[in-house]
Order: sequence, then structure tokens, then C-alpha cells
Amino acid sequence: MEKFTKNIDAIEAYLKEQLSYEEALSFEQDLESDVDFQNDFAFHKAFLGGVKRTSLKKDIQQARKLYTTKRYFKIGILITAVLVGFLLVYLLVLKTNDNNSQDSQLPKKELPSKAIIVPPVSIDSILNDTIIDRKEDIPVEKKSLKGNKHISNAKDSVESSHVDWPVKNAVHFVLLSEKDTILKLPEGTQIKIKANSFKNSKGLKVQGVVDFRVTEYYKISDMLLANLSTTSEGEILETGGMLFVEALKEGENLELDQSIEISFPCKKKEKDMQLFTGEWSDSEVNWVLVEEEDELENLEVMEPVSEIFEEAYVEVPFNLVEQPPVFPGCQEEGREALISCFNEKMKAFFLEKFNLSIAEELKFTGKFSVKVFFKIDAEGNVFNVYAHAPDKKLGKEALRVAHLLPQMSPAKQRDKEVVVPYFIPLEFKFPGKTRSRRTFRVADDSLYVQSFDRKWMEQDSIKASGKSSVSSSEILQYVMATSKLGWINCDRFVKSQKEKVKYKFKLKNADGSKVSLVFKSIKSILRGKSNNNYFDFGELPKEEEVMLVVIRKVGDTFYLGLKEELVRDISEMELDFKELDSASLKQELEKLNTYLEE
Amino acid sequence: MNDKKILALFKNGQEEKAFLKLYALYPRIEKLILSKGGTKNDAQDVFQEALIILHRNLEKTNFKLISSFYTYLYSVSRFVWKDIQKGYSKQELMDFSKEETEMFQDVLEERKYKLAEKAFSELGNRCRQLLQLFYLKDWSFKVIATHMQFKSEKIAKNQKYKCLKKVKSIYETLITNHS
Repeated sequence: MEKFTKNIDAIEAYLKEQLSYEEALSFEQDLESDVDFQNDFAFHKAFLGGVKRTSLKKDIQQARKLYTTKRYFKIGILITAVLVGFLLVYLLVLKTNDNNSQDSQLPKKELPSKAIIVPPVSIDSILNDTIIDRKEDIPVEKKSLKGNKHISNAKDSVESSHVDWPVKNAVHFVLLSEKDTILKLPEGTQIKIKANSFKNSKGLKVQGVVDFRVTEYYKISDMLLANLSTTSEGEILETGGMLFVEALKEGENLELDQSIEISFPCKKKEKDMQLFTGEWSDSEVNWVLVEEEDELENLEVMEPVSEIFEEAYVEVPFNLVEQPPVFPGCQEEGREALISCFNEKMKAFFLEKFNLSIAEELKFTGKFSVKVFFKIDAEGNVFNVYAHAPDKKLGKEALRVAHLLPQMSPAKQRDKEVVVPYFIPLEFKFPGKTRSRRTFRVADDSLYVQSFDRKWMEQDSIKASGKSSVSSSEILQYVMATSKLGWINCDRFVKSQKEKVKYKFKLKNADGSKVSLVFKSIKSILRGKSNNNYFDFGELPKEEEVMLVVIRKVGDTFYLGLKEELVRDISEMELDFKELDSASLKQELEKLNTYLEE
Repeated sequence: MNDKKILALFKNGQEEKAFLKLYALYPRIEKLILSKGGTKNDAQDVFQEALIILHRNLEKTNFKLISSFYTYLYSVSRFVWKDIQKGYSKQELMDFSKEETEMFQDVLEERKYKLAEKAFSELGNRCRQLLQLFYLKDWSFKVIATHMQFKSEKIAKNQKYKCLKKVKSIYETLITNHS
């Protein structure tokens, strides 16, 4: 193993051209004389090629998907155009027939050519008309829908009677796809959806009204009833809340074309909360961490849409703004002089603070440039920073420096503070040959989210009926963005240093039961894997206080067994079951909501 | 055509866009494969392989695209298809021009990468994630350690070696089973 790691390190350094000339020579000599080394080298190259294939395939498949949808879209447009064309010909013929009865002089031959020119125009106008109509006809409304399809899917399939599980109702919104919308849900969730965020399964943008349904799961009882658990690939998660989100148009499920932002309310803020999406299999949910990639995408979404912020947020291009922002220390008079002072100071600031040794470490040669983009807000602070750089490390360095910028006097337009975007190219020249390099986009949104949040607060929003169960003074939030609908969970991994013990026991008369475990110290639910009356929860921290919740349904009756336990090595467990109907089951489970320590 | 634009897209790291542009050539490749008795699915696979080989070559410093993208992809696709069909006579191999020999070798080499990809796909989830973050996204071990909940940088690094060792043994068994 040791030799292998050494070989790998050497090979990687060699392939990345990080070795000096002498080192490279000696590497090549070693390679010639050592068969194992050759073997490792050949493998490593093949491996890198193989890994590369996974990412290339992803790109290619994405491209193929786009290509096919575009093609269908074109064909669709063509067919519509032809149909509309026929319709118009038909109408014109009808009309001219009418005319003919009055005026038979009209030459018939001209008709087809006229009709063919018309279609594209009329398609547009037809579409527009429908949109406008709907805008006026259907104000935003809300209602509760009974039952949630997905949840019933998630339930055990054993049941065959008419009594349903007391499932939670989805909150139902009707919103207009062309408008930015903020939804406020009864238990405190906020969802921000930008205009034109939806596409259908064929990848086409969706216009007009969209049914949007959200079910919130913050309470242990709701989670238990929906059969939810909080694990990711077997690892325990602590949840900050789960949602089931669906968007529908004419009964068809829609997808997101750009991310939506979700704020999960919470009473105290825990670190490291991340977004997970849920996948169901065997009536158990597995939460999958949303990958970094998606988070980068989110940044694009954060770009403000100027029309939302008509009052609160005005952005004016830097070279057009009446009074440019003033860099501290610029005393010049007049717009032009201030601008050139601003540019100079900015450049000097970046060149002074930018740590060029990073580029040296990367063995950069020749010319290269780092472009830094940011905006200066109405208070003179920098936000929404991103950089285009030939290496991610250089991009990050640019972000670091940008965040060091002092507060400036904000730009003004008609004596009102406004936001201005700014861009500064940093050109560097090292000795040696210039090489063509790919460009990375590196972005950092921490500062931006704050100021963006403030802006959103001022926007009018849709409020769902029902009392908010969290008073507004204690609302803290986790703000997350997602580009996927469906099951969404704001979670973090929990790691315990405590001694672990296998928690597995036999439970009598538990055939067909759902056995869940709720922790007292963290908001987390586990489902026991069942096998012949044995229920297995894997390895858990010893002596942890937990509540076992066993629910069974026989015919129309529910049986509920509850037991407080300490995690320990046991082999059997006995439980008393209570006979309940659907409503009282819900009530009993709701008592558990206070079980969790605050 | 707009070959230059596509080349620029590749250079700027906008692979997906470049591939999308190249997909305009797909119908003609599909025709080729269908005419040789393949299915539409075969055509998709062949085209994907051709794009991967093209991309690999574009990354080499000494590679020059002499002909158009179309001619290049067309010939590579032919080779890929032949390789799938395992249909080279000795005479054919002898008659290859220099360029054809190179393409043929590219296709052969890609087989190795395919095997490595297969070996990689047989790894556990965490290993795959770790290696992808390190090799594709260039994340440092420090970032990987926090992201993947490793206790320390060092553990993440050790894990990398272990995962590599695992792929290697899978790869080696695949190779022996293959030949």
C-alpha cells in the first residue's frame, strides 16, 4: 500500500507537470526500470480517462436532451403554424364566399399566398391573448386539497380497507408563471419563485396558471404519519423540516427550469444545514444530498430582476450613472475625474492585495487575466461577487480581495442611492509562454443573500390561510435553493462521539407494523428494517433517549404502541398497543411533538 | 460552417454548448449507422463515443483538426461502429492511411477508458463521490473532508488511496476477464 501511495503521488505530480525538469527525468527513468510502477502508471492514466468519461457523458447526454427537445419544439411550431395557416385559409375562404355572394369579382387566386404569410404573427397574438385573459380572470386563490397522491404511494401497500391514514393536506396555490411570486405557508415556510421558472416534461417553458402544492412536515406527528424518516444512505440526519412540493399544469407534473428559493423556519439555527432530495423505495425515503453543482446554479437565480424591485432596488450601469460611487480618498470634482480616480484606486487595491504567489504555485507562465464582477449596493457595500479566472484558486482569491474592499459612497441617480454593477479585469504577465486556458466561474453569495433577503421582505406576498404556528418574532430561517421539486429536506448529518451499539430487537405481534424511532435530543426519525418480527435500526449511540413508535393497521382500526427507551443491547421488546381510529391516532401522535427537547 | 465557434466553446470550457451544436450533425451519423444495420440506440452510442474521442483529442496539444468536425466525427463513428462489430480483416488494417491508423488507435485506447469507467462505476457511492470531487472538480482535501464529513483532511486523503486501490483491482479483474 505504501509503495502504491508513493507511486500515485509521483504519477499525479508528473501528469500535472508539477515536477521540475530533473525530477521529471528521474521519474521517467524509474518508470523504465520498474514494472510495478509502469503498471500503476498505465492504470492511473486509464482511470483518469474513465473518470473523465463520466463527466463527458453527463455533458453529452444533457446536450442530447436539449437537442431533442429543441427539435420537437421546432416540429411543434411548424405543425401549429401549418394548422393555423389552414384555419386562416378556411376562414378567409368562408368569408370570401360570403363576399362572393355580394361581390363575385374578387380573384380567388390570391388567397393562399395571403394566408401563408399570416401564421407566425397570429400565433403570437393568440398566445398573448390567452395569457392576458387568464391574468385577469384568475386571481390568486388558495384552497386545501384532500389527500396527497405521493403520500398515499408511500404508505404500506398491505391495507385494503376504506379508512385512510390521517394524511396531511397539501396547501394549494394557483400562481401565474409569468410573475415573481412569494408563497407563505401556514407553518412558516417561504418559497420564492421567479417568473418563468417552470417547464414541462418535454423541457418547454410553461406559461399561464400553474397549480402549486406544498405539504409541510415540521412536526414529528406529521412526519410519522407520512411515513417519513431522516436518513441518507443509512446515515442519520437531523432535520430542519421537510417539504413535498409539486407543480402541475393540466394534471401534468412540471419541472423547474431555474432554482426556487425555500426558507425553512427554525427556532434556533444549527450549522451545516444542507439541502437533500428524497427518493422513495420500499416505502422508505432515502435523502440524497443536493450536489454542489446545483448550488452554483443557484447563484444565477439570485441575480435581481429589476422589475420586481421597482422601488426598493434600482440598478444603473456604471458608465451611465449620474453620480458614480466614490472610492474613499477620491477628492476630485466632476464626474469624469471621479470615475477615473475610482478606476485607479480599484485597480491599485486589487493589485496590492491580490496574492500572486497562488499563480506561481500553479506554475502559470505568460499572460493571463482574472476578471472580477460585483455590484455596489445603495449603502456602498460590495455584493454579488463573482470572477472569471483561469483557475478556481485564482477566482477565489479575487473574491477574497473583493470582500476586503472598503465601504464606498454609493452611486446616485436623481439624488437617490442606486446599485451599480462593476467589473475589473486584472491582467498579469509572468515570464514564459502564454498558454490557452479554460475559464472557471467562481462565485460567492454570502453577502448577497443578506441584502437580497432584505429586499424580498418588502415585496408583497401571498399568504395561505391558517394561523402561523410560529410567532414571527422567533423566526429564524434556513434559506436554500433547489432546482428540483418533489421531496425536499433541509438537514444536516449528525455524528456522535458516543459509544455505539447495535439496536435490534424482536417485537412480538408486530406483523405488518411500521416501527419508527424518534430521538429526544435531535429532530430525527429512523425506520426499523423488519425481518421476521426483528426490527433493526443499525448502530446507534448508546444510552441515547429515544421513543419507539409502532403503528399497525388491521382493517379499519389502528393500533399504536409507544415506549420510551434508552438505546442498549437488547434482544426483545414488549409493547402495549392502544386501539384507535384515524382521528385519535393523529391526536396521540401529536402528543409526541412535545417529546423533543427544545 | 461554424466550426471555429464550436472550437472556441470547447476552449472556454463550455462543453455542453459545444456538444449541443455538434448534435446538429447527429442525423447524418444516424443515417450512416442505420445503413450499416445498426439501430437508433446504436447510433446514439456510437455518436457519443465519437464525441468523447473528439474531446479527448482536442485536449491534446499536438492535435489539429484538419478536416471539418463533420468529416472527423463521420470517420470516427465508422471506426467505432466497426470496432463494435469487430469486423476488421487483416487486409483492411494493412490498407489504413496514417490518419486512419491514428483514429483506429484512438478507438482502441478508448476501450481501456471504458473499462476503467466500468470499474469506477462498480465502486461504492462514497468512493465515487470522493474521487469525482477530487479529480473532476479539483476540490482540495480540506473542502472534501468537510463536505463529506470526514474527520480530517488526512483521512480523506487516505480514503482516496484506498478507493484508487479498489478501482485498480476491479479494473485488473475486468481486463483479465476481457481478454
